[in-house]
Amino acid sequence: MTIWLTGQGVVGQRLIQQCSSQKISLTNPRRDPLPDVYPGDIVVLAYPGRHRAVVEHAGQQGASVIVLADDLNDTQQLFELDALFTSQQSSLVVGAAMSPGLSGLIARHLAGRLHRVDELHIAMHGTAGPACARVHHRSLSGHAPGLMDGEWKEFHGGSGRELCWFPEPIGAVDCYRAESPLPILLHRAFPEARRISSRRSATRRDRLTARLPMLRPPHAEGGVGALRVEVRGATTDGARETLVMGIAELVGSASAAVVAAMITELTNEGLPTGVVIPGAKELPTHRLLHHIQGHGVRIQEFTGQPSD
Amino acid sequence: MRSQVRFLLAPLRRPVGPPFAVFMDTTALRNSCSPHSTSLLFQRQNRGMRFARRIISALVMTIAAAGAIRVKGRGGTPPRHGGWRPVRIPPTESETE
Repeated sequence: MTIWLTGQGVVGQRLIQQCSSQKISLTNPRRDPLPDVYPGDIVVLAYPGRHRAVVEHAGQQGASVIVLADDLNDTQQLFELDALFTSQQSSLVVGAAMSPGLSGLIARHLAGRLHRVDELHIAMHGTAGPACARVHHRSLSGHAPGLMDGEWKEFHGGSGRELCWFPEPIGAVDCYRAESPLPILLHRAFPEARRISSRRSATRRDRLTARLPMLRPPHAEGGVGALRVEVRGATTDGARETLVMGIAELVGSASAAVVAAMITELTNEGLPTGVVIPGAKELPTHRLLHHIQGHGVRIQEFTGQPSD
Repeated sequence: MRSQVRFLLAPLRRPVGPPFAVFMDTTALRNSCSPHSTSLLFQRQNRGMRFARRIISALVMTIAAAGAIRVKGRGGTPPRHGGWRPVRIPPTESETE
């Protein structure tokens, strides 16, 4: 079994560090996007843009594929490959980064403490490498899908400001709706939820220049980022409950930890066949979160009690 | 008596030239003393002063109100730190606390 890594950006580099015990074969997405894979191999696509053709090629060869999924249209196209991967007895993990990815796993963990899940609200701060920063820039001018009372609505990116509290050292940051496949993925994992929203942090300058090309090249790495997952629902006695969990971590490291956890699970026990969405009921969420914590990601829960 | 009251309530007469006319040379003074230019300049200055005075009084009132709220207000400052606690997730669901 070979692990193929396509794209050696910040996430790719961190993944190589975190999976140092495993042999990883590197491929270049520009020169050699379609490596010769064999049944049982794992292909990790850690680069931005469209992946449909590469995923289909790998699926036809019987390999399992892990996609970070940051493109809304591409993600929707990947759902069409469910039958192909099911017939090949392999897995296609869609959204294995910090958000989507870790956000879904945390949401599922929190949902286990509730009788019924009504609302899911995810907020994210920070970016990994330059490619991630470009996606963030574009997302603020795109169309942001959101589920409101069971109906899909399309909002303008950069709208819907909300002050979100992240774990320290990030604290309170203004977050806005942004183009992301996360609500669609979460809706597949939590079909009972009536409201799903996804927000990303942005400054005034980010929103002002969102419709322009990037005025200056992005940073090599975006510093410490954060994730906040808020699940609202009802307990068995009918009481309303709001549970919040999050992380404050380098986005590249957290994303690589999610991919590494998926690789560990694929090589050991295996994941369900077909399209796999982090947060889905049939996934071993606790084991995956345990692996992620083993890679140094500190998950925190909001208690509301101030610490001096 | 009535005329005296009327005199006291009557508006003050505007000065003929701009207030800084004494610093001008004679040509400038002559030009500025034409009936049109004098009144226009004075009106502009007067309007500008009134605007500046309004801004200053608005600022003073805002600062006074903010100070009063800060000194007399109750409830204190909300916490800006804390509220998060690290959690350790076990590998199996049965071990969850």
